Amino acid sequence: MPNVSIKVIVSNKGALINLYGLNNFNQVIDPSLTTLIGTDQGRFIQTRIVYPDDAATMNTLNAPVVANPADERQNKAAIDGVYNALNPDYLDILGAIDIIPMQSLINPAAANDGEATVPSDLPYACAQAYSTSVNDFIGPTRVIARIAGITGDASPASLVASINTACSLQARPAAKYQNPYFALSAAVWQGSSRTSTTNIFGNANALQLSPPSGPNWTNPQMLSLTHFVNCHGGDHDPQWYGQNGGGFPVAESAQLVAGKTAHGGIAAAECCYGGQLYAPNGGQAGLCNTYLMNGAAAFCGSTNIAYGPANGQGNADLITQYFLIDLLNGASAGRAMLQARQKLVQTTSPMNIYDLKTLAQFNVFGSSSNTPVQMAAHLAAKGITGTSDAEVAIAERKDRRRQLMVRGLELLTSTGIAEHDPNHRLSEALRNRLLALADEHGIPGAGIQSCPVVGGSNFLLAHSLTQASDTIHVVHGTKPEATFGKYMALIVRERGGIVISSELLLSK
Amino acid sequence: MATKTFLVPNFSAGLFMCWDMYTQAGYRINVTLKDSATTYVNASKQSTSIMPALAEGNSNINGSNLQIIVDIPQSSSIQPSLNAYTIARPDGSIAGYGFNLNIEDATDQDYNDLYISMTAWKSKG
Repeated sequence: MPNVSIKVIVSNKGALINLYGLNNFNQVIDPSLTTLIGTDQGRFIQTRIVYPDDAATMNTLNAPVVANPADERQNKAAIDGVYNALNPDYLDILGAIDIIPMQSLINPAAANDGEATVPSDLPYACAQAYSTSVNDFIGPTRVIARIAGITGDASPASLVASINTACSLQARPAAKYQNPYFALSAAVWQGSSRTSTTNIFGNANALQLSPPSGPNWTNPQMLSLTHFVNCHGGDHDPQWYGQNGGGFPVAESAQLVAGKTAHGGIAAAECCYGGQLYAPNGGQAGLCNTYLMNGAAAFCGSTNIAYGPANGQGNADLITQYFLIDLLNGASAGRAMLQARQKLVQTTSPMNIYDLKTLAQFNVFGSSSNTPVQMAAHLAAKGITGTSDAEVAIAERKDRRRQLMVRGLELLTSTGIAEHDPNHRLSEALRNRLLALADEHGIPGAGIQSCPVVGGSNFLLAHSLTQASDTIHVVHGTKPEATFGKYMALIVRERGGIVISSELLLSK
Repeated sequence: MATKTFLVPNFSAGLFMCWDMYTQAGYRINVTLKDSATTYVNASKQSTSIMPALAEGNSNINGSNLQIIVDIPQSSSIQPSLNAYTIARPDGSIAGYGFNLNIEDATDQDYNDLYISMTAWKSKG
C-alpha cells in the first residue's frame, strides 16, 4: 500500500501560456505550483501536474492528447485517460473555462428556461465516456474540483490566489465554521432557507433576509468562515438579489465583498449563475471569483439558471446544504462535492428533468484536497502500535474512496430517471387535470412535458416488482415580465392516471 | 545541476517580512529571494555546519510575486517539503503569513540541506 495519497492537477500548458504569457507562466504560475507540490508533500499527498496537451507525458500515460484546448470531447477523453492511468485520490482542474472547458450537457429543462446547455464539471467526476446527456452521469465516483482563475483575465493573480490558498490552508475546528456563520436569503424564501440553515448549523438564529438587510454587511458577518446564500442571481452579474413581492434589492455585491471574506472560508450559493465563471472583460468579476480571490477554500455554485421548490426543500436547497454539511464534517472540497452529488441522485430518484439539471449545474471551486475543517479523531487515537497517524489517515482515505466508488456504481443501476418522451400520449382527462393544476398555481401559458420513468437494472427490477410505475409530467410556464424568478415548473407524479403528488419549482 | 523556484504564497507588497536561512550540506547552495521590484537575498554557502546562517534579515515587501530561487549546481534533484500558513486573529481576519521550506539535495532524505523560515506581517513593530 502506498504511504502517500495521490493528487493530479490537470491543466493545458498551451492555453495557460496563451492567456497569461510565457513570462507569467515561468515566473509566477509554475513556481506557485512547485510550492503547492512541496506543501502537499508535507500533508502526505504526492502531487503531480499533467498537461494533456503535452504529447510526451500523455503517451507515457497511454492517454489521448488534447490538440484543441476548447474541444470538450478531447478534454473529457484526456482527463479520463489520466485518471485511469494514475488513479488519484484527488483531481484538480487548473484554470477557468478558457483553460479546460466545462462539458456542455444538454439542458433537460430547456423547453422551459431556454438554456440549450448546462456547463458542467460533472462528467469529469464520472468514469462514463464523453456524452452530452446528464443521464449518463448519474453515478459520479471521482473526487474532483476546479482551481479557477478569472476567465479571459491575462493577470495570473486570481489563479495564483487559489493556488496560494491551497498551499496555506490549515484545517480548523468545526466550531469555528459553525459559529458565527453568515446565512442570507431572499425574504420570499425564508421558510426553505430556515430549514437549510438549521440543517447546516443546527439553528437559523443568524439568518439574514433581503429585504430588509444588505448589501453592506459588517466585517464580522463577512469574516464568518461559512457563507450560505439563497438569493436570486443573473447572467454575467456580480450581484445577488433578495425578493419580497415584486422588488429585488441587491443582497450581496462582489464589489463590497472584495477583500472582506475570510481566508480559508467556505461558501455555497443557491443563486442562478452563482458559480458562473464569466469573463468580466475589465469589469467586476463575479461573486464566485471574488470569494476565491479572497482566499475561499471551497465555493459551490451553479453555472446557470437554478431551481428550488416554492415550499419545502429540493434541487438547489439540497445540493448546497449537502455540500456544506460534509465540509463541516471534515470532508475535502472534492469529496464534499462528490458526496453531495451522490446524495442528490439518491434522494431524488426517480429524478425529474430539474433534478438532472441541478446535478449538472452545481460545481465546486478550490483545490479538491482543500480540507478546511478538522476531521474527528481517526483510528490513530485508538493507539495502534507501530502505525503512524499519517498511515492511518491515508488508509482511511482509501477506504472512503472505495466506498464512494461503490456508491457511484450502485447509483448507475439503482437510479430512476424521468425521461422526456415527446411521443407520450396524454389522455384528455389527464391533460385537463394538469392544466387545471397549472391554473391553480398561476403558471401562465403552460406547456406539458411527459416523462415516463426509466432507469438502471436494479431500479427497473424494483419498479416492475412493486408495480410503482410512474410518469412524471412537467407543467411549465414563464412570467416574461419578471426580473428574476420568471420560470415556473409544476412537477406532477402520475400513476395509472391518478395524480399522486405535485411540487411547484421556481427559478432562483 | 538543479534549480527550483518557489512562489511564497500571500507575501504581497506592503507587508513587512523577516527571513532566516540555514544550510547543512556538502554541495554549494545558492539562494535568491526576490520579487518584481527588489532582490532581498543573494547568498551562497558550502558547509556541513549550520552556523553561520546563510542569511538573516528583514524588509518591507516592495513588489509582487515574491519567490525563492534555489540553485544547487552539484545536485541532480532538489526535493522540497514545505509549509505555508496564515496567522489569523480570533475574529478570523489575517495578521500575517508564515512559510517554511526544507530541501533535500541528495539521497539521504534528511531534508536539512537547506532550511528557510519566513514570516510576513501586516504590522511592523
